Amino acid sequence: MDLEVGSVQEEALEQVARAQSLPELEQVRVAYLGRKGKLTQLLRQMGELPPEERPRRGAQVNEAKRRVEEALEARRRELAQAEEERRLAAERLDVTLPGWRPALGHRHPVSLAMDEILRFFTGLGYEAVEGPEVETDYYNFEALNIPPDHPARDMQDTFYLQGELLLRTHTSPGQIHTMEACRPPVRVVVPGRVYRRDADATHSPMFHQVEGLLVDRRVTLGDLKGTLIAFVRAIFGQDRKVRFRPSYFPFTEPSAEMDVACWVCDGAGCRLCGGEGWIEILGCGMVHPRVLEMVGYDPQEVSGFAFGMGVERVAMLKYAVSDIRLFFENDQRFLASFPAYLVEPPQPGSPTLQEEVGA
Amino acid sequence: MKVPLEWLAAYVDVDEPLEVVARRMTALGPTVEAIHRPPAGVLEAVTVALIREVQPHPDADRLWVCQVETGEGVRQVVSGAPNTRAGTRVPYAAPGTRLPGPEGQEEAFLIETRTVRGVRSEGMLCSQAELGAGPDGDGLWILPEEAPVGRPLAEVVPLAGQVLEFETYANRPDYLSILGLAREWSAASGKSLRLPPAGCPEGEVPVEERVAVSVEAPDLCLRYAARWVEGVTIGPSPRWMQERLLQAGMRPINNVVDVTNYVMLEMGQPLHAFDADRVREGASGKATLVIRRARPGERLVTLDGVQRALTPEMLLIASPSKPLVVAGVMGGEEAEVHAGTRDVILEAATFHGPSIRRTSRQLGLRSESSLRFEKGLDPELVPLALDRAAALLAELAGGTVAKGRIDVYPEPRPKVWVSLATERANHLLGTQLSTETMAQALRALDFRVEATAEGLRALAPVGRTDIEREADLVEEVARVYGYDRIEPTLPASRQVGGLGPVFHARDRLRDLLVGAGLSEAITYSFVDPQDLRHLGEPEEAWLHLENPLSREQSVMRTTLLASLLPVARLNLNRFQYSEEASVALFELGRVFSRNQPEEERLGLVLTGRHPVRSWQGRRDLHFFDLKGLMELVADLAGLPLTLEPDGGFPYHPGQSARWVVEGAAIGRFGALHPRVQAAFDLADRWRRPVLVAEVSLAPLVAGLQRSPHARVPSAFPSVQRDLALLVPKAVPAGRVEAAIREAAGPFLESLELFDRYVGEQVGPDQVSLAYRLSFRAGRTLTDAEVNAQVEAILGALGALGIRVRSGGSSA
Repeated sequence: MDLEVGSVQEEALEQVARAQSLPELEQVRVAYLGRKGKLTQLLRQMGELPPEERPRRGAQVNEAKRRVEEALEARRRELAQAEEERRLAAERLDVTLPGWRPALGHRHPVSLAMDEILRFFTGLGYEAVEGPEVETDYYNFEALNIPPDHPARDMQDTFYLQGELLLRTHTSPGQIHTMEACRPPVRVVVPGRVYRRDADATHSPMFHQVEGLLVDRRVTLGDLKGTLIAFVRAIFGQDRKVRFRPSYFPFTEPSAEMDVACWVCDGAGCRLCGGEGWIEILGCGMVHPRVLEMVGYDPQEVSGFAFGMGVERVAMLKYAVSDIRLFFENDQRFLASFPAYLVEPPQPGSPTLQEEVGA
Repeated sequence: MKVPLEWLAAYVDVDEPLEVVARRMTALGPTVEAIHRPPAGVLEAVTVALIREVQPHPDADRLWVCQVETGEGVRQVVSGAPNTRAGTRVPYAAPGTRLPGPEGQEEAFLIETRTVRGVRSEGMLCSQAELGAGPDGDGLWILPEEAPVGRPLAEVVPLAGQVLEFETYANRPDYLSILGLAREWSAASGKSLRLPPAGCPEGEVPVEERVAVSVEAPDLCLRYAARWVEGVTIGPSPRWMQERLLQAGMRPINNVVDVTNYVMLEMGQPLHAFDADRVREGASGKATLVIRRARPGERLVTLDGVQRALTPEMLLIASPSKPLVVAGVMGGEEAEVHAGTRDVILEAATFHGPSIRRTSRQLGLRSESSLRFEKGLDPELVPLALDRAAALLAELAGGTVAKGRIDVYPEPRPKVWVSLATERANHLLGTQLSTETMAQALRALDFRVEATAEGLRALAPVGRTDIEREADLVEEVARVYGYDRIEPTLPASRQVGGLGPVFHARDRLRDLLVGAGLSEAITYSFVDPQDLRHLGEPEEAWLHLENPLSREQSVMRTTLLASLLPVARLNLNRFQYSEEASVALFELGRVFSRNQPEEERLGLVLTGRHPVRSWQGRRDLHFFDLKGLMELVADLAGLPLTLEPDGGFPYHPGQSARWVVEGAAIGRFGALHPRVQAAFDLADRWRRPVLVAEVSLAPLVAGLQRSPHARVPSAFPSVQRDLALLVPKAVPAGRVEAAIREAAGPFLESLELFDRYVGEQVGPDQVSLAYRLSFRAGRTLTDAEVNAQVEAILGALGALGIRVRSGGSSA
């Protein structure tokens, strides 16, 4: 090889290797391969050579160019990668810093529990309806088979308003409004606020209830049990034990209260359940024939069941809230214990119930 | 109702452990709400001892030194009990025994041999209370005379201290009697019921010669019966009776009063005993009782020493000259039995339940009597209870019962046979029980049952007033059969059901607002009238509670702000009003007014820091944060957020607006008036506004019901124009925007304010507003077309005194 070509190639390769940045490398490229670059010059100088030497010299210079170009490309890649690494290093964030989260509020636990309850029953074909919170004595008591001065009135201490009005003590007037408005079959749930003159850790002067009413031909106490067992399992889990015990409500006959086995002790008795092993969830029963008669239904033709549950009670048990007053203080720190949206979809139609029902 | 197991066992055998009894009773109907029993092991560890000899303690006035036969030799024990007497059998705790600690303390108490004022005492003689076996702590527990010395108490008095406490039910006065509950246990256990002996021994003198009864208010007194017992000796009742009363929660008084209380607890029929001398008036020597309404202004000092003002609604038992007893509620001091009483008039009556309830509420006086009467008692109980009490008096107080009863019962209640059709009952329960199974269930509860063509008819036992129709019998059958044995089924549905538009709207609003950083609050519907006043709510619309729990909860809210502002205050307080304090809450709830129907509203309150969490600098909430939320709500509901400035009091006049839809205001929002903010103690050091909103739900629901309509995006390009305008300060931005839209014609696709500048460069009376306009059509628009539209817009704006800002771009 021509000595001059060889030394230019060596020099070029050395400078390529020495280049520390892409601009430096570009300078090297211009210095050798640019229009006035040394290798370019060598090619240009070929015209000065005798014609017989030109092909050999041409091949030598082209070979040198090729090598330098290869070296340049290789070095470019190296430098580009190093550059990228430097940049990535420089852009490194402390990803353990807190995120800039969009503001997200929280649902009230009572409204979450209410949602779950309503979703379960609407899934069973119940329609949700509402009624007034300010009621008359007739709808709150008399139409529900609770005449004036009946001792059953003591079961619910009432707030009275001026002008013969009162704050409903239960959502049961919803039964009457519904039955007055439509003919059987009737299948409704009535959620809403109710009021009783009572205040301590487990009683609030205002709380929420969901009333359920089903009237149709041949509705049975077994239907009531099956519906409520399915409800408890959907809300509190498939294994939850349930107990029905006879009770008294003036507007149902037979009447029952439904207890679920205590979470903490599973029936053995503990502080949560007051040593009883069971926690009362709701009152229920077959609609009293007198109530049916009062709204013009024929108890010989149709029967029905009704139930009423305290939503705060469900929320207290489900979310481990020990004092009912926490619900109405609305301390944002308390509210922040609850999710923004309903997280747990209710689970209707349990296989266990199907077996039990034998259907 | 407290039921000592030992007393219950007098009428029906109880062989089962207490828990089993409790569980089976609860399953049948009477719910056990508490179980009382001696602490485990105590009655097994303590034995029967016989006191052989009692000497006064040489060195103490109130102590005795006893020589006690324990079964393991004679021991010397010092006793301080006033009833320490030789010859009685008492509980003995030997040294090494552990007894329960004083009431309420868990720690056991170890009995040791010790020296009491110089006298050696080996062990302890115990009262019931000291063993945790009952309330009686006044003296030693005197055991039966046949109790074998040395045997553990658990063998001698196995049921001692075991008490079941039952819930009461408004329709079951019989659950307020030991016999009523014994009847239930008999049905639950299948064991037979033993009733106490009926009737009583009578003397020669006819009762009519001694007492006369005149019922002047037969509407309030359905039955009144009396017996005369003469020559009684007042003294303490026997130990067994006192113990039963104590265990059931009543204090023994004297033999006569104790007998009336005993029979009340036993049978559920309250009784009253009069000292005959205090009733007798005039020379005849005959006592007359008048049952009448109280006269206006009449007064009576009741047994508790309180003078009571009576009204004509109240029923009295009186002598011809003066009131003696508030019927069914409480006796008067005057005619009470006392140590010198010789002759007694015993009363048993049935009073009108609702009237007793009213009277007892009016007097604020609830007694064991009124509790029973108000539930409506069976008049058939009257002769049974009266005879039972007379027999016990004769036996325990040594009196002679006059011949016969006075019994005023003008309209005897007919016996009610109730029919049950087997098929209907099975339909109601979802069972296939035979008529015979149903009949057995009813007989187990002491009903009389006869067969009928359709099924059966039944007559309830004395004391049950709750059996009126078929459904009542069905319940009896179901509970004896067992609620737990009824197969659960799911009824087939013939309906679709679901949540209606209002529920749907609430869900969407909740999700939106929670997603925007607000938390949901639920507050009481009644508020402090002072807070409503602060908010300028007109008082004539307020609905007042007649019996509020407190003044702070005495008026139904007419605005959600009266509930939300105190909640905001509480939360600021929890933040110690720091600069970082942040409140962002909403509520969906009703407001109430005297002359309007209940109305559900959405209420918002925001103040302090913006709830976005970032460590890159934080900012305070601003009016436009609230307005932005309102825009989201309006968009969600598909309603235009058309505003009229100034929401009026209690809003800040310059930072609030009314939201008007189709000419009607559907809500207001903005900063709270500073005066109101201060009144609610919501003003902070940084003078940050409290932002509130209140919007009616109904128009939002209506909007949310509309189904959306798709806008197909145009394939043609849009043309952008920016307009920088100099606007006189008096012209609100909304007006500018409206003018642009109106003048722009059909191709204006969007209009966005992207800059607002106030300051030196525009002078004091103007504002610079920069808008980006985007035009688009179903074809490619030419520059000339767009320019023509912009010219039209500028022309319209010119009429409002608005011109293009020089240096601003219009291309």
